[in-house]
Amino acid sequence: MGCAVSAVPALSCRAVVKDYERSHLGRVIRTRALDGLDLEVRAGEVFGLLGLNGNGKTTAMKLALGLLRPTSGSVSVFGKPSGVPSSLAEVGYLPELPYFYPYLSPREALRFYGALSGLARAEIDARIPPLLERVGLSAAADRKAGEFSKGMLQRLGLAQAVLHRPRLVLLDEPVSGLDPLAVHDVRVLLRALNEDGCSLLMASHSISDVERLCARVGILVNGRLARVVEQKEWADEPGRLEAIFVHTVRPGGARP
Amino acid sequence: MNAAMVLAVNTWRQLLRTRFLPVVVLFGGVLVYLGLLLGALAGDVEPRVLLDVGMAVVEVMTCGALAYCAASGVLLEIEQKTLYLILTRPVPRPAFLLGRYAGAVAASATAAAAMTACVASVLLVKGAPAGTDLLLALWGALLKGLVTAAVATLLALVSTSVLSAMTMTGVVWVLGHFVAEIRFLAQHTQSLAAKALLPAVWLLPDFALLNYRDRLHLPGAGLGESLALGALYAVLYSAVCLGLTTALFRRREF
Amino acid sequence: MRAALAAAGAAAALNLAFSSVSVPRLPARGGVSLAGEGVVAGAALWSLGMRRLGADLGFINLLVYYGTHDEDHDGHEHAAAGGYEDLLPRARRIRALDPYWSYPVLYAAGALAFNLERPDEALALLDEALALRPGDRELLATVAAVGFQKKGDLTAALERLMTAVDGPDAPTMLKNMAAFMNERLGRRETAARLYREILESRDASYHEAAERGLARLR
Repeated sequence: MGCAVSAVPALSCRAVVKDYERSHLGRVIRTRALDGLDLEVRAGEVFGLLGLNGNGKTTAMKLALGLLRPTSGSVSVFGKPSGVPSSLAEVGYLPELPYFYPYLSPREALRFYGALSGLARAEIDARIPPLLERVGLSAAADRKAGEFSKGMLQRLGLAQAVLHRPRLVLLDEPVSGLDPLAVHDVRVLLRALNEDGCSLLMASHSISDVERLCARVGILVNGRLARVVEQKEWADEPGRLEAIFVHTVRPGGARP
Repeated sequence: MNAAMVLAVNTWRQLLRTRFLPVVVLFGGVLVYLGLLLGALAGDVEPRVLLDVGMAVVEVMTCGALAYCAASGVLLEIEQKTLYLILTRPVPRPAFLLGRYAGAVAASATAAAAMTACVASVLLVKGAPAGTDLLLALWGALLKGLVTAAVATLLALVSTSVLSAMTMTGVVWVLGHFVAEIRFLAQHTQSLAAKALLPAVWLLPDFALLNYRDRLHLPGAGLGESLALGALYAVLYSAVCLGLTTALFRRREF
Repeated sequence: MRAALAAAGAAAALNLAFSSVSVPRLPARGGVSLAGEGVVAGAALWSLGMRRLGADLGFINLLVYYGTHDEDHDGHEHAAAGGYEDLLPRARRIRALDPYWSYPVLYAAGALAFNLERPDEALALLDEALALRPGDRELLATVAAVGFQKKGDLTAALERLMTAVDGPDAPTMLKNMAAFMNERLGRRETAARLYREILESRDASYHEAAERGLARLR
């Protein structure tokens, strides 16, 4: 599962503003989800993104993937504009709740997504068995996804995110709903990916997982990156990242 | 295989595995065989009645199936978020639409061929093989299906639900069968409101051009130039609809 | 908005271009009467592009109407001169849906002229059909047959009718009529041939009459 390391930032958001608009009784109501986000994920690093619900984590990821367009500012992936096929080819994505066609088995699903990523059939078939082994789905390789539990869907989601060996993987709540053993397996897999040179952007509510995996952590507050915390700031003090997070998101709290 | 082809194959497989198309074929086949009851009342013209009933069933079932597949395909992908894992890959958005469209058309054409085989079997049993009439009627049904699917795909993107998209597609389908009459009436009416609607009528698909089933044995009907022109019209009209759909889909956020 | 306008313009231009294309069409403005039985079904099928099917169902209705109204019918040899007032309007409604389909015209004209002794109605129907198909042999022959029958010249009427019944679209009913007329004129071999053809036809309602005819000729 190797990924090549690059000096160009894996992800770069410059002064990104994102407003959601909806019409209500003839009026246009704008909600600002990101308010001048400046974020950079360095090539080869694991970057964590923390924030309360509704503070822009998923919005930031969708902007990187081209599912949303910024109202202003720029988003680039390895120097290329986000959302274009050439930058999407470099990216893998695990959404918060991955949805699969219920009539497809993991093997068929990975063949489908691998083909969409431009991989040849022979190459896909060679990658599938070790990948399914890695995510713990070998025994269910030919069962329909419609029969899967949430944890199994999450594992399949991880498999499809890394099948094409992307240089940047975006993970939205990768351990949400998983049992402790599955959480451990996912952590091992992500660490291995990063050791192979893959950059990871991980949005999560699980501070303990972020602590274990990330080199840097960004804390989003009201659509802005309020603080970026380096690993050395929490490495020697268990629970310190949580304290930093609470202070950052709660106005008027004591600075740790 | 390029992305559109991959998506087309997946759509085809989806429609078969979810049993939607097999149910359409089964229901259509039952209706075709029920046509035997009508044919029994028709005396000398039994073969004509069997052909007309059978191919009307084929056309309605095919176009209905395509309207559903096209209307629900994109909307359900958006609703169920299976779209995310496709659009976050290097798949151009037009390729996604084209692939789903092509897959739905291919699967429905398969169903139409199966139902037409039922009609052929009925005619054969009655000692009246239909020959080119059957193929002409099938060709017309498939061309109408192309246009219906393109219209349904467009309406799915501008409407809020599968039901409303299908309903609007059904209205367009009905109106498209007598555009010539509507244009005539609008031109000759004194009503300003009707005259104001005349430009909109020119946007409707003219299904009379593709209605080979209803023109069998008309003087000069069916062959050569008429077939080629009908196919050209169906392809061009579908392309216009899909072009607009693509333009809208490119700008869509998820 | 620009894309929508461009698409609308393209669709309109396409329709405008193809509106001048000469493709065979059923007459766009054939006046469909709003009176009478089955008109709603006919209109509905018209709006679904199924005029032929509408005509088929209309003809089945006509067969049921003509076949069940008078229970004393005996293969139409002894039909009353009156009755079946709606036969001509029903035939006209079928023509409005499929003006190029001669069979119902021949059937209704034959019934009107030779069974119900209303040759003027038969001629009116045949003339309307001939306006669209002026060279149609079966229609022309039937017109001639009705004309001679009206003048009382049964032999001449039969000669013209034989031309019509030898055509591929000839209703079995007309054939039955011709067989009976041949039998009356003493042309036993021709009558027998026609009765045998009737027995091989799809219209089973005349099989019994044909069997009785053959029995008489033995």
